[in-house]
Amino acid sequence: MLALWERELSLLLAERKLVAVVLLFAATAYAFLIGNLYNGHVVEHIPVVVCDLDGSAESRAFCREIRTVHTYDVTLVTGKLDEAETALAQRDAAAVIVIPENFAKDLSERRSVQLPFITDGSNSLVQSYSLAPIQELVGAFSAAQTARTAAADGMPELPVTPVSVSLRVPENPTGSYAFFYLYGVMLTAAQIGVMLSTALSVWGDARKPLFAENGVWKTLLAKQSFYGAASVLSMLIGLSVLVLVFRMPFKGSLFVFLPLYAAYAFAAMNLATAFALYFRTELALVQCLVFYALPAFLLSGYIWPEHGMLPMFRWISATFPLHYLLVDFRAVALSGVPFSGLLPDAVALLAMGVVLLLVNGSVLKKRAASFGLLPAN
Amino acid sequence: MNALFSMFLSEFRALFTVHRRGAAALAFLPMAYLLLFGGLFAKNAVNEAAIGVCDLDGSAESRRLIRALDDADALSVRLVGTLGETETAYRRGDILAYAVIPQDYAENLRRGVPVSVEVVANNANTVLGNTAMNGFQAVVDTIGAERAAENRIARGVPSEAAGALAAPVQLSLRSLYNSTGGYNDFFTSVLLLHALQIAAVFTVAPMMALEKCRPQENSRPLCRLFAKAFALSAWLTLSLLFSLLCGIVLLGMTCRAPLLPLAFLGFSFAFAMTAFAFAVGAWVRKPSSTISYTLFYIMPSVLFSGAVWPRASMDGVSRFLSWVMPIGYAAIDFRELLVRGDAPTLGEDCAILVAIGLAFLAFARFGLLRKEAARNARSLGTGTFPAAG
Repeated sequence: MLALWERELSLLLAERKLVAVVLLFAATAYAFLIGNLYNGHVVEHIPVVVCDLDGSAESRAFCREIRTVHTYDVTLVTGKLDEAETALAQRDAAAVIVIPENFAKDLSERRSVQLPFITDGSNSLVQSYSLAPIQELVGAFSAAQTARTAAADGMPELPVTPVSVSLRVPENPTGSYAFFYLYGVMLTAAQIGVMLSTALSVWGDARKPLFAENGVWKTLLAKQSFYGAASVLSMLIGLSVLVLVFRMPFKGSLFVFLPLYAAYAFAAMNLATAFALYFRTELALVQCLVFYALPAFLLSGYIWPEHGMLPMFRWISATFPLHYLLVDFRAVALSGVPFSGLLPDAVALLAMGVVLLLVNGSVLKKRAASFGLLPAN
Repeated sequence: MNALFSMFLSEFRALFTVHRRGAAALAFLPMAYLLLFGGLFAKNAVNEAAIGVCDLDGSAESRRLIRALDDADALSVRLVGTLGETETAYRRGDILAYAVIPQDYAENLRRGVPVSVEVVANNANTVLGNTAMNGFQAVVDTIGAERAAENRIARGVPSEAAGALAAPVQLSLRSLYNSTGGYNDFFTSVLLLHALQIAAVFTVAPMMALEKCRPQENSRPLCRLFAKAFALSAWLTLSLLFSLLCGIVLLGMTCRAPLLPLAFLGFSFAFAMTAFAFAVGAWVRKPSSTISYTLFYIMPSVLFSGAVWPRASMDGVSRFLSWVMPIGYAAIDFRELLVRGDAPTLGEDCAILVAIGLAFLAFARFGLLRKEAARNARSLGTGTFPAAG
């Protein structure tokens, strides 16, 4: 076994240096790159135009409130609607808040006021980050107005809002995009590393008498333990970058997560081995692995939740090892779920790995037999 | 010019004779990704977030709230149980959020005492978390406004004024260009361009690294390279447009732009990425290494394009990366063309993409010269001569 590990190491360092870099540092590189990209956590500097058609003291007070929203950059306050609409059309604004004519008058005369909020919906992410602050602002302004009116009408004993929501968001209170996205990207990069290195190693040796000389199961075990350990190391470095450099939370225990990751690496390596046994050329194999990476990530249910998928896509999703890892990893990191919560997915990964291992083993045995060193059965 | 055109024609023909597999991959990948991701986002919105309710009141009023929560499109009440049961279901991940309706909810409402419904939501996945939180907020706001109006009517306020007093200022939302906030218009269009660059780089770069110098290529090599890039870009553009057509017909993707600007942008981007692939293929010896080297750039590049995470929210380093990546000049324009019908910076961005492409072609030419020199040196060293012509 030790000799096989040494062989893998020397091959990696001598002939596949680039693959070694991908195996060990892809997760770290992605953690740095994307961690830095989302370091602001939420979308800020959203260009907003306020169109004040009323020009009253009340509307100006509301404008001042809008200016205090830290995610907004109020680029223009205008009294002309066409100017505001032009700014939206010319991409100078992502949203326009219109304070209608007679805003103050309607409020003082106890008439409800509609406040149009026109957004550029082409980027849904910016739109959703632009919507939350104005909803909050309008809610607070409306409540204050109700209280003022009630006091003026001599009905101060009535509550401003009879029922309200008291929201507690323990996992991601600020709606951080980094918390939502980063772990998955780092783990997908780690997947590219472990699958690429395992597949290339098996592809090369499946055409040599190595499996026949050392026994199929022993060689597979050696390869998978070697690349699996390297992948765990790679994931740990990537995770350390996220936690130590980008201050990402990790509420769970690493001992809870590591068994799941080991089961995942086992399944992913066996899937890579199956690819390696299928493809005749090294180039086709590498192409398949990189073409596979993006769908595996997007269909994993990590971003677009499983219940939002059509049934066929749920089935496809269930065939990807990443499907059983990414959501769980985020749950461990952000919620600190115990191992019992991960157990069904760990079992699924192990089952997937075992089935693929048996198939790969039997294919390799037949190939080894062709070298005349092993019986076909 | 005629010579260049005949070179282009011969390269285009070569796609279907010499490089059939490569041409098939270039056509297949954008289509495959479109169908995969378009199908993934086919529902266009995430609804029916699984929630639980702990009803500590058990009154008709609290049941009314639960019914309203269940009737909301965004929410689906999966569990009505004790506090312990809902907390356990939440921790297990069976429900995404839960609400606790307090004791004396109905009584306090009747007496006009403010009531707070506690909502605990898992926002780890912000797409789902926002759906649940907005759903709760909307339902409780509606019930609150109704109740406030009822309270005022009971105090003698005329019914038409009671509603206005309960919610004096209301937000009226109007979303332009992608009114449903659908993911296919937001994201699939960008992923389609991403598929094009993946197809270009991971297919063309190894082709370049593998390709033997054909006899006619020794004359005017830069023109030959240009014609080759032109032929591949034309094929990629056709593939992109056909995939887009399928997206429009099968997935209902929006397309408000005429064909010409879309084709112009698609071609410019394909040209830049093909030239980039040439440069990689010309400098890297092993075909499979062309993929490993470019992995670090291609895969994350879509996130830096500015089409998802806006440039205004990036720091200097990320913004710099965003501007040096060709997709940074194509992704936003492509989506803008589709959903808005125009892209104000289209001309400049296409010019920049073509300039990037030309620079990479020149770089590729140097790479090929270097390879040729190395091959000649090896031939001399072994006493053999390079193939004539």
